[in-house]
Amino acid sequence: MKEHFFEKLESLRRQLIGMGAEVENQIRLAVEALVESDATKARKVIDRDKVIDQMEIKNDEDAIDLLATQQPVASDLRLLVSALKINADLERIGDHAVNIAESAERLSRFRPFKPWIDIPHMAEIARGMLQESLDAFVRKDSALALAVCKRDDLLDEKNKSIIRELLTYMAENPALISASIEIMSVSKNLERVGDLATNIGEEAIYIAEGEVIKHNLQPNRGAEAAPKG
Amino acid sequence: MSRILRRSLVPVLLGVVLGGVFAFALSRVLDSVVKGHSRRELVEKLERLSPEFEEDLRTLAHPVERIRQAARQAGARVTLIAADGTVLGDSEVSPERLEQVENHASRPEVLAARRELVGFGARTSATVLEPFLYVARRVGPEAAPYGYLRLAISQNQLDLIEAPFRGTLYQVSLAAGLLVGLLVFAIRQRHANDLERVRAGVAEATAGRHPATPAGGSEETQEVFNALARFARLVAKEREGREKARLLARTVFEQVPVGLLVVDRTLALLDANPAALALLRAPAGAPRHALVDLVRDPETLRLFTAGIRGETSSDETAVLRLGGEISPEQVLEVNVRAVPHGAAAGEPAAVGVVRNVTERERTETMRRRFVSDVSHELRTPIAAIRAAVETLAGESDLPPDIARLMSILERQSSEMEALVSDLTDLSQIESGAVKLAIEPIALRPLLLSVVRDLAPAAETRNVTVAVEAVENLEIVGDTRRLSQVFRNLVDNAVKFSPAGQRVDILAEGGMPIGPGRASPVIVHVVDRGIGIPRPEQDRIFQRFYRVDPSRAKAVPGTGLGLAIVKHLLILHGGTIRVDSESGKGSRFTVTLPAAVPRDVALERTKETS
Repeated sequence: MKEHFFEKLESLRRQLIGMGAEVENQIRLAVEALVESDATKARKVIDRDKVIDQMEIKNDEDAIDLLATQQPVASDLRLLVSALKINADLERIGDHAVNIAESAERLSRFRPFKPWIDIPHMAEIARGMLQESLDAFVRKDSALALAVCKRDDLLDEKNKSIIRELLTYMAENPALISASIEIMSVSKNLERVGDLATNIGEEAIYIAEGEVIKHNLQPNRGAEAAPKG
Repeated sequence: MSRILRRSLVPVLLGVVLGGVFAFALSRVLDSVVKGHSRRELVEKLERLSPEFEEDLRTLAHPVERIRQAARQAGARVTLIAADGTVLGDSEVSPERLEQVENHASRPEVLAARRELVGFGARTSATVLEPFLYVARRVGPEAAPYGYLRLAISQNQLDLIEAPFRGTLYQVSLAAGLLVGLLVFAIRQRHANDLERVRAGVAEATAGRHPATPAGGSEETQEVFNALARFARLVAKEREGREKARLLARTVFEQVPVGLLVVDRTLALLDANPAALALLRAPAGAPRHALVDLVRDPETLRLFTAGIRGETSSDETAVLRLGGEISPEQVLEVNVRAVPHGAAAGEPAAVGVVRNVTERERTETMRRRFVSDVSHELRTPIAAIRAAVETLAGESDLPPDIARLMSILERQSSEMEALVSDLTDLSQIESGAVKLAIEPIALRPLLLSVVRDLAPAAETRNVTVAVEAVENLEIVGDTRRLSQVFRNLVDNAVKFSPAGQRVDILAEGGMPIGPGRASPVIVHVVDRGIGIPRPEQDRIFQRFYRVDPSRAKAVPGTGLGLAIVKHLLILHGGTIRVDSESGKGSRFTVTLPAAVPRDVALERTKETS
């Protein structure tokens, strides 16, 4: 019975990592489609989202099944609860990839009015964060996860500066407004991917340490809070 | 210890039971010995006493006092019985009660004594109610006996005689029984020891060690051990061989500079060699339960999934690019081989081979960049030379010698321009810089325009070009690039055709084969020229390959044309094949995806917008 449980838990863990791999790839392809103005590639990303949705449903069912039938405790329980959250986060990231791909599809009809520099850079950061948060989850590496969480600020900053820059373009040339709005949406989506990757990183820390670090990124918070009781 | 207890239980029980049987048998023997002895004693006493009472019996007297005296002497009950069975006296019965005693004529010992002088009997006395042993003797002549004298002793008295013997008898019996039990136990123990030695020997032998022959074992044990020693040698040899093979395999696995990943059918990671861990940058101590712990690239994972089902070929690869923020960027090539029989979970089902192709990729990039740079740099000077040569050649009053040299210059510079243009094209296609403007194209007009472009060259060589194509055949692709493809192919066909021959262009296919699908379009370019020898046929699509150097001089060309054709067709999702026979001509067959039937195509655009 117990062995059966571990087998299922391991299989859930693998499914989750597999889904992470798929989502990572979606983000990469969506940004590629955007930069290369490749509507076909963008369409592929949009079509592929169905697979990710199915993966999410399967992971969800498996995790709830394990929770309900096995009443896990301690680290197994933590892993299961986190798996549920990571599963939802990954699905959301998949949706953002679709949003970016849809923008790419629409933007492919416009003539590029400025070289792609900031968006690919943001995408690189967001994808790196996602990748490393999954690495941290796989390796139960809380140091790596913490590093991911800290990089989120960089992404927020970039998003703001892109929006400022695009606003000046729009003010100068109203013909660029619709394209600029698309790019803003891409930037916003990438910023959200970073947020969700941060969530995954936080879950990775929770799994590794058994400590909730949500809403506070001080690494030694536990030690400080202890005397206050 | 408990084993010894268990083993001794049966012998002890056996000893007790045997002791009981012995005791029973011996007590029966003792009983009969004691009884026989008592009888003989009583008979002797009767011999002595009978003359004394002969007179009394004849006169039927009642010698009470003498009977008592005789009884005391004999230590037994004495009864005097007349010939008719009347009891004349009894040592245990008072004279007053004699009349109540019943007639003894029918007593078995009396009846026997009448016949045989002495008679025996054993029963409970009716007179004194005790088990008695009786001996009677006839007194007087056999024909007319005077009477009978009878002695009787109580059975209880006999038992008292036996009692001391009986105690000893029981002890001896029990001792004998236990002795037998002990003997059985000892034999059993000995056998058990033998078996134990053999068991230990077998254990040693199966471990491949020489089993030590035990001292004091039986001959059979000795033989068993000899056989075991032979078995041990076989096992040791076999084990050594297997260990060597295992060590060799392990060494190769660990030392080979190619990464190896062994997975079962659930994609659990069974083994990964150090090269694989290094190539995939797995940190030390990171978990390695599953393939996804090491590789998360979906393409690679798909390749493994296909590999487990045995659906991969050895040249199917996935390319893994590892980012280079901290460590240098690395390009890995993975291919997966199925392991036969890896059906169960936990058994190897597929092996992934990971190679580092960073260097190869880098050289390839460098080559492309070099070719692209060089060809780009050459274009401008060559264009200038061409312009100058053409201007000079246009002069009408050139001396004949100069005019001849000018024509050489003109021809060679034009060829050089073609070469550079081809090189630029090829390097752009290979580096992926060429973007196709995909649109539906009517095939027949495209082919006709190609033929029109090449008409002057065909006329010069006196070669006719015929196009035979279905009217409404449509393909999808880039018009300019596909024109380039067919121009190259038709140009080749014209160049290698002898004068007066015909080149045929045939187009077919594109039939609807289901909703939204059509069979591929196939275009044949057929010449009746010198043909291509079979061994060369695969290589003509490589860059700079010319079939025959001597022929290469006769027919101008860069050797890049077919390479460009092949790459452009790959970009279009098409293929090219050649069938040829030396001296008879060649047939180049191009396959291209057909355009989706119009109505379906419209629906799809609606769906996506």
